[in-house]
Amino acid sequence: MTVDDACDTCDTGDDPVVRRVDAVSDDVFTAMQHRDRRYTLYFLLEHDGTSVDELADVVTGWTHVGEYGMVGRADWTRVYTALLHQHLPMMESAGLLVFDREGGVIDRTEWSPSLVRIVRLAHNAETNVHAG
Amino acid sequence: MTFEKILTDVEDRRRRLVVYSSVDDPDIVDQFTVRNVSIERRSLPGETAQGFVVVRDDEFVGSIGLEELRLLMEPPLAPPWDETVIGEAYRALYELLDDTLFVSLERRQLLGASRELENRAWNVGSGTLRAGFQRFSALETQLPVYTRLARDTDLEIHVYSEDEWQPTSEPGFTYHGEAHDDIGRFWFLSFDGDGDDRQMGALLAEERTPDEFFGFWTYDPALVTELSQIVEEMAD
Repeated sequence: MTVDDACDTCDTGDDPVVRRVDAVSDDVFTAMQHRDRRYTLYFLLEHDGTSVDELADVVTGWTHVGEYGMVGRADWTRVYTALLHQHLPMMESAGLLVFDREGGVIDRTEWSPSLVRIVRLAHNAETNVHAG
Repeated sequence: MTFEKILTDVEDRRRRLVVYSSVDDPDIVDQFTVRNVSIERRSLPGETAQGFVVVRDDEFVGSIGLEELRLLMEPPLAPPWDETVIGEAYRALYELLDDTLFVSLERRQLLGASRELENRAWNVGSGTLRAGFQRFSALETQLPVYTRLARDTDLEIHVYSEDEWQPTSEPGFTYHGEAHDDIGRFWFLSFDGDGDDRQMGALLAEERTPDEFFGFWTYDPALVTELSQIVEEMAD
């Protein structure tokens, strides 16, 4: 399922303007409300797929950059649990990724150019500390 | 048990270090020549200015930003009681990379690790701190620090070096001039935490080429105890 397919299932009312081919669904913006889900999408800009374990490593490590404090196993477990039970299922419903629960494997779906643009824009704003 | 054997034991503790960065080869990682840790690189999107390192054994051990890691390679020089430098953050950095065998530590980097252990001793204020100096000149440089640690705390401080020397009498300060060969080859430090496992720590490094050290620091109570025992036996 692609992001555009996902949009076909959204309630878009009667307004034909919202139904453009490259439109990005509300689900995408909802997905991007949470920092852990945004960093998941940022990582998927670079990698077609990953494991839940690595994703938990990445989200934990990346969201604590700039802090000198101890980032340890407890932080990781919190991130991992939320990814597994909350964020990944939600992003899967939004059509952003496919999540194989048994294998613990995540694959990015085919993202539309507008979705890639939006994720990249958010990534650049949020992770480029020098961009001001 | 010898210093050599301890280094071999630590070598068996395998770890993985995964470097996440948009840059292929962040310069900080070049400084990481390690023996018992495999280093892997994974890319981040090109525009990010950030990068970080994840340490794993079978599980996630911890993570640190690449910029923050710089502190470990270029530690500020401050006395162990300077809490503005040696605080919680400084400690977290050393805890993340304990039991890691560094192949080429510089004197300054070892001094940074020593300061972290001395800071623990300073904060606890009691217990036993053992420090080995390869050369008497190195001891002379650090003497003001150790004299103050002895004077201002209830620590029992034992200092080792190969040379004969009669220090001015200071309660809590004992000097051992030993003939044992290992004293001249190794830089070591251990603090027993005065019985508190969480405060224990030790460091052991061998100068394999001039000013280049092969060694590690640890907060593993069993390893700290073992190292302290070796030092004690040398002095017998």
